[in-house]
Formats: sequence, C-alpha cells, structure tokens
Amino acid sequence: MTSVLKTVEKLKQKVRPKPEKKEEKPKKYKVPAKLKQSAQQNVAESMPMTISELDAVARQFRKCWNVPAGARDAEDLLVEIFVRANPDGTIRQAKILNQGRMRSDPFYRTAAESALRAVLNPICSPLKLPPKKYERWKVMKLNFDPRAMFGRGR
Amino acid sequence: MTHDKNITMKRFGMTWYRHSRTGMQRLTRRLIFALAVAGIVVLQTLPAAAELVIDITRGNVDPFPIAITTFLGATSKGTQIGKDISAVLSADLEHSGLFRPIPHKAFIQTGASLAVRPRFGDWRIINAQALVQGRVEVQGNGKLRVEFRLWDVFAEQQMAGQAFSTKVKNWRRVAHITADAIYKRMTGEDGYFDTRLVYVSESGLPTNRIKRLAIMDQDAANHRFLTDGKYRVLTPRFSPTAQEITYLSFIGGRRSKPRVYIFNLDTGRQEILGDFPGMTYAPRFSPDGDKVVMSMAKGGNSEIYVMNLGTRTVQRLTNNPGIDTSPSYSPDSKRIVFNSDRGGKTQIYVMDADGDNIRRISRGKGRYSTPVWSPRGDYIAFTKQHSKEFFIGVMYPDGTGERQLARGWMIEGPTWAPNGRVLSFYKQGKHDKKGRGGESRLHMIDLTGDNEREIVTPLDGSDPAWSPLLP
Amino acid sequence: MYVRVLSLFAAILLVAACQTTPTTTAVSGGEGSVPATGGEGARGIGGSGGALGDVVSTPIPHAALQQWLSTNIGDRVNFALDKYSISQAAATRLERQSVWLKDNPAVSITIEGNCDERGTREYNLGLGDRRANAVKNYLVALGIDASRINTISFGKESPMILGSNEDAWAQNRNAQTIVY
Repeated sequence: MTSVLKTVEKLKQKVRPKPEKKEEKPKKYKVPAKLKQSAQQNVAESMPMTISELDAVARQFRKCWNVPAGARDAEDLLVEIFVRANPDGTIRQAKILNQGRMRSDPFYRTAAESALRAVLNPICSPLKLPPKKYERWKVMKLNFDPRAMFGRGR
Repeated sequence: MTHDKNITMKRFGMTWYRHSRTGMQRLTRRLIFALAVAGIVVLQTLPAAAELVIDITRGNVDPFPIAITTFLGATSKGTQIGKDISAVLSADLEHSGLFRPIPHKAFIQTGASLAVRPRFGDWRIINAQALVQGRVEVQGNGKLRVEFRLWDVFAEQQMAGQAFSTKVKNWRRVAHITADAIYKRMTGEDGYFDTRLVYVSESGLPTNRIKRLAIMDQDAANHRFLTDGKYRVLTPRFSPTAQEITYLSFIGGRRSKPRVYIFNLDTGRQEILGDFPGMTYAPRFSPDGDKVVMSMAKGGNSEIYVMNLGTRTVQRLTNNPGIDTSPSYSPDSKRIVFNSDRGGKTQIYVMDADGDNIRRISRGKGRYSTPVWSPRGDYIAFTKQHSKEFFIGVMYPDGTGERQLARGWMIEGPTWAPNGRVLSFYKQGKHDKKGRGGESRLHMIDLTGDNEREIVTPLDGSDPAWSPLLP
Repeated sequence: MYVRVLSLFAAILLVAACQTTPTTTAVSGGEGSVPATGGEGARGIGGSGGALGDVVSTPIPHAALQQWLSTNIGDRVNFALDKYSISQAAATRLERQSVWLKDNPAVSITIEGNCDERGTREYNLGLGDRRANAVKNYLVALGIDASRINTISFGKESPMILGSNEDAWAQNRNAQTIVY
C-alpha cells in the first residue's frame, strides 16, 4: 500500500515539470507585466479561454483535490472559491465564497475546506494557464462540484 | 464495565491563538484595507463582476496525507502515554482507509518546538495536508489530561482542538475519541473509533463447535469473553446505549429450544426475553432501545414479532406461511426490513413498523438475506447467495442501486459502524472431511467496497455486531 | 422419568418380538449394552409408565434406544436443498417410526431440524424448525399424539458430517428423531 502511494507520488513529481516548461514563464513576466498590461488586455479580450485550456486546469486539480468522504452522497455541495492569481499562475488569494454556509453546515465546511486546500496545494501550483491570457484569468471563480464523482446510480 | 464515562472535553477558543494569525488572515485583512482605500474601482474586480469560471468536477479519493506527531509528555510516563496515544490514533485513521499517516522519519519539525507553533512550510514540504499535535499530562491522582490540535497545513489554520480529562487507564479511549474528532472534522462524517464489537468466538470442530460471546474494542484491543462456552450463542446485537446485548442462546442444551436473551454489560446478568411457545431468534433492538424485534418459530412457521421491553407486550407483525426473519428497523423506526421466502427463494422485503404495506425490494438473481438498515438510513446491507458464492452488498431502501462490496465462499452477517460508512461481517473457509480448515474470521470494509481488512481475534470469530459510539 | 424409560425399553423388546425382520438381533445388541436395566424394566411393564415404587436408579438407556432406532428403523430423514417436503424414502422411514412409537406409548421424542452450511444463520434456524415440524406433522398424521413430539431447530449449527462438499451437505440437511 505504502509503496504504491510512493510510486504515485513519484509519478506526480515526474509529471509536474513538463507542463511548467511548456506554459509558464513566471520570471520573464515579472518585469514587463505592468508595461505590457494594456496591450495584453486587448489580446485577452479578443481571445477568450478555450475549452481545452479550462480543461487543463480542471484536470490539474484531480490530484490536488482530496474529496471528503462525506461528499459521497451529498446532493448539493458545490463549493465556489474566489481566486486571484499571479501572472506566473501561482495563487495570490483564495477565498471560500459561501461563508454563511461554512458556519452553519459542518458538512459543507468540510467540502469547502477540501476545495480550498486543493487551490493552496503546492502540487497544483502554478496553475496551467496560458500566460498570454492573464487578463482573462487573473481573477476567477473555481467551482468545485463533487456530484459527478459519486453518481448515485438512481 | 472497564471504560469510564467521565471523560470531559472542551474546545479551545480560537482566542488562544490570536497571536498566531495565519498568512491567509493577514492577506484578507490587507484586502479589506485596500478595499477601503480604493473603493469602487477595486470592487469591480470582486466576484460580483463577470469573471472566469472554471468547473472542477473531478478530484481524488486517495487517502488523505496527515502528519500525526507523537503527543508530548513532561514525564517519562507522560511521554510513553503520548507515544501510545499517537500510535492508536494513527492506526485508527489509517485503518479507515481515508487517511495516510506520514511516517515519522519524514518529519522535519519535531519535538518541543511544535508546542510553540507548527512551521507550516516544513509540513508542506512533506505534503502533509493536515497536522496533529498533542500534549499529555499525567497528574498525581491517577488522572490524565490530554489535549490535541488539528491544523490545516495549507490554510495555516487550526481546524480543531480539544482537551480531555480522565483516568490514566482510559488512555486508549482518549486516542479513539481524538481519532473520531479528527475524522469528523476532516470528512464531515461522524467517526466510529470509540466503539466496540461484540461477536461470537468459535473453536472446535464444526460438528461440535464451541461458541462464546466476546467483546472487544473496534481495534481488537481489550478483548474479553462474556460467556463460558457451555451453551452455544449466536447473533449478538447491541442496544443503542451499548450497555445491553440481545442474542440467541441454546441455554438448556439439546432439549430446550433456542431463545432470545438480553445480556447486561454493566451487571453481567442475562435474562430470557419473553415467554414464547416456540423458538425465538434473529433479535435486534429498535433504534430507541425500547423494543426488540425478532422471529418466533412455531409449528414450522416463522413470523416477526416485536416486544415492548417496558410493558413486555408482544405484537405479531407478519402473517405468512413463509419464513419471515432477520428483521431490522430503519433508523427513524418507521419501517422494518426483513427477509422472507414467501415467494420461493428468500428475498428482502420492507414493511411499515406495524406490519402493513409489505413490499419486496430485492430484484437481482440469487437469494437475499440478513438485511440491515444503515444507521444513516441511506442503505440496506445484506447477504446474497448466488452461483455458489456469497456476497455482502448494499442497496437503497427502495431496492435500487445494488452494489456488491465483498464476496467469498461463505460470508455473511453485515453490521454497520455507527457512521454508516463502514461494515463488518465474517468470512468462513471450507473444511475437509477431518474438519481441517473452516477458519472463520471477522472483516471490515468500506461502503465503497475498498479497504477490506481482517480483524484479528484470539480464536475464530463470527456474527460481529458493531456498537454505537460509546456514551 | 426413569419409569418411562424403563417401560419403553421393555416395549422395545415387545416390538422386536413382533417383528420378523432380522432387526431382532440388533435389539438384543441394544439390550446387551444396558444390561443393568433389563430386570428392572421387566417389572415396570405392567404399569405401562405407572408403577414407581421399586425403581432402582440406573443410567438412562437413551443411548441404547437411540442406537436401536438408528440401526433398525433409521432416526434421520434427509431433505433436498432448501426443501422441507417429505420424500418417499423419508415417508417410509417415518411410517416405521410411527409404528414403533405406537407400540411404545411411553416414548417421547424430539425432532431436531438441521441444515447444511450453505445458508445464512438466521434463515437456517427457520428452515431447521420447518423441517423438524414437517416430520412432526407427518408423524401426527400417522396417528402419533402431538404432545409426545417436541421439535428443535439447530439451523446449520450442528452438522452431522464433516466436510464442505455436496455429500456432507446432503446428509446434513436432515431431521433427526431423538428419543427421550
């Protein structure tokens, strides 16, 4: 069991660097960010995020999001996380939006915290987002919805 | 009883940790400050504005990596107890299949510095998503004070913190209660570690099997026998207070019919339940503990009866020439699930608690029996026999969604952990002409069908029954 | 209690005397195994379960009676898988048991119902009860007073034959007539 897990971890570590090289150039961004901002904005506006780009992020979270066991039979545990990202794809701020339910529903709190941990998980940092479209994703909402994982089979 | 109910608990107020505000909180504060300064301009970029939305519908259900540090003690005795509590707690969480305690040798931060404040960076490096730390204090009067804290390593926040005071000898219960608190906080489900199993301990050849009632903690510790084996016992089940066990015994030997008894764990007394003209069997408490539902066989016909334990009045619930048995209440006490061969092969039926409105719910091939309603009400576990094999499965109370969890040459008798997420049952092997083989063992398995493991008992075991969380 | 036993032991001798089958030799074997009670039993006959006074306490010859029943008539009938109907072979045996019971009015019996190991514990308790009662009802239909017949179910708890195989299971699905 432990050895299997170790292998999985190793795999994760091996897999990680690849996309980083492809998609992310954080250091280059730091300097020209302000300068290029207006030009970028134009580009971003003309180029919406593609489905495959969104899928890449959703896929990325598979290994970081430990879905709590309690979510198995919950009908409505959609967790919305508000995220501000840095140009390099790292997270600047992440916040659970439905704070009221966090306080009143321990079941939801567990699900929400698991989603927040996924966002803060170093394994999922930086996010695999196209640097050119930073203006599109510098502020975003991540909807974590466990329902699809545990189809109730009815 | 060996366990002590007087374990006191208290939650730490978050005020204790005001000095240790997390990075997250600081960030939020700064944001609020920035908002106040920048006003409306900043507000436009808040979630109310049309921002990018990404739907994440797939995560993983891998065991959750958690760092469980050795609880610190000031004295050598305290240090030893701290070590022991951490080990029991760690084993509980690991056995649940939902947690993966990280080996201690991977820890970067160790020792007393933990008591000051965890260095979250050190724990993130080893991918600990949560961190458990604790402290043990052995007081002069044989008392023990244990406190623990559960930290979210990524969010750098305390998720739970409790202190317990009890007698030193209750340290294992403290470990189990701590495991339950952590399990609940991390999964959203109630725990099941501070529980016991009653079961039938078996020895001897199948033709002359000795069967004794035995009880142990959920992790097989504190094992003891309740009966001496002179009379055969079967199918024990806990009352909702965990203080009583109802079971079947062949007291009186070969000449008297087996009957349902109640055993009181506090007094050690056992008493026959009711004065029935026939064999009584398959007993189970109602969820409120006021009633026992069971079968009574008379003239070759078994019907289901319910006995009110207060008034000792009895009501017959079924009236059919088939064998109606293995009744089990729904947790709201409104319905009873049972098995009956009224339609030929034995199948699972549900009826109202007064015996009305009987309908068959099992639909698959094979013979279905021993239905047990989950304490959460969402599933019914059962034994199924099909194609020369036995299965433990679950279905929804309307009979849909049938799933097999475990299979074997001979497995039966599912029982639910009080949180309705884990089941126990027993597995038996074949024996040969000389009676060799035929081992009977207790097992546990997740509702998902994952994480099956054996519970090691001193002798063979069968008919496990899980207690509720101990009071 | 003793009286009943003693008189029925004597009754066995009577039954045996009536029979022309080779079982007579088996009877004397049964007698031989409990020699101490032979004379006492002879004195008890007259009362047919009534005379008490002069009974000497001796070991109960249940085992011998059981042995006799088992050897000469058969104390066990078998059932098909999941069934409790009386087969032709079982019917023949139970008819002979009923004759023996009629000839020995002081004998009471317990019918023990048993099942093979291929079923769940609780259901098998019900099934064993059903088998035992099927035998009881058959004997009652043949004229045996129901009050002489007790039933008990052992479910799958008391297999007669060891082994997890079809042969053993077939033999373990039975109802056994126990003399007491």
